[in-house]
Amino acid sequence: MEMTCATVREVLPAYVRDGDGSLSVRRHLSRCTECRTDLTHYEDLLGALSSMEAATADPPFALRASLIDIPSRSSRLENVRSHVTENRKAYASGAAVLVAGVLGAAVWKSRKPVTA
Amino acid sequence: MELVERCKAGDEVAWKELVEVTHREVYTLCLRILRDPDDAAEATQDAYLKAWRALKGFRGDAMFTTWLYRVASNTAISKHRSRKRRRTHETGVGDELLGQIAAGGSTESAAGARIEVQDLERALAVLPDHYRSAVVLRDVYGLSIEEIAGQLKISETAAKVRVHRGRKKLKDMLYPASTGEEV
Repeated sequence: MEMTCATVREVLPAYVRDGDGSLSVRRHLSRCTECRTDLTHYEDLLGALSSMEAATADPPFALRASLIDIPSRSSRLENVRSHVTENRKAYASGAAVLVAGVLGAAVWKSRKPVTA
Repeated sequence: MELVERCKAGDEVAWKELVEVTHREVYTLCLRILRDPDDAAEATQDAYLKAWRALKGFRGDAMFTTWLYRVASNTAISKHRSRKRRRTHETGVGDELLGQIAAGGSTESAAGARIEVQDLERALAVLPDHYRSAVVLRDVYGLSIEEIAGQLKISETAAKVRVHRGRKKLKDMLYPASTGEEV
């Protein structure tokens, strides 16, 4: 069955690169100049899109330095993390003493002086 | 590849070289997805941090830049999904972005037709987000449909549909006379 131009144009975005095209699409394209022109436009578009990888934007000035610093930052963070892990008990005890102190101070402050 | 191996061994000088040769492309990829320079810079940072941490797991079965693009696009898409939707392309930010991307002149296809890079960037800027991400990842950075589906968290069929509809919309914008449709 002969395909219409409308049907062929629906499948051209897939046909142009991903090879989704039946024999009847190819047959129609061999006979129809307008649909062939449309296919050429898609081919131009895909060629232009693939060339865009090389067209780059200027990153913000500080970004490059910040990216270069990632290994150092990462290892500093690792050092802190392993230090905390190794001294977990000491930090937990310190935190418990601090919380107890804060609570004690709060209770002491809340006590009203006894008046005669 | 030698550079990547040195990075895997923790060589910070090699990492610096790697950043020098790749960061413009990665930033531009994030910018094309997010359309916001601050968000793109943030996504680039996150992507390189992830790449540094995951570098030891890079087996070299894909090109390093392809792997890095995958990490970057995944990061940019996650960021895009989580941020509040901001309509930037209707308020002139698209034009600001065009100014940032180096004017690459025009590209000539095998058929000899020319498409101005800035016209293409402008058309991409007004393409709806879901089509733009799919087309950029497939046709600019060469990701597979399977990878795009995974990153956008949609089915492969839906990813194909987005790529194809995006291409059609771009073609209609760049060649309005051929369709008889208004841009």
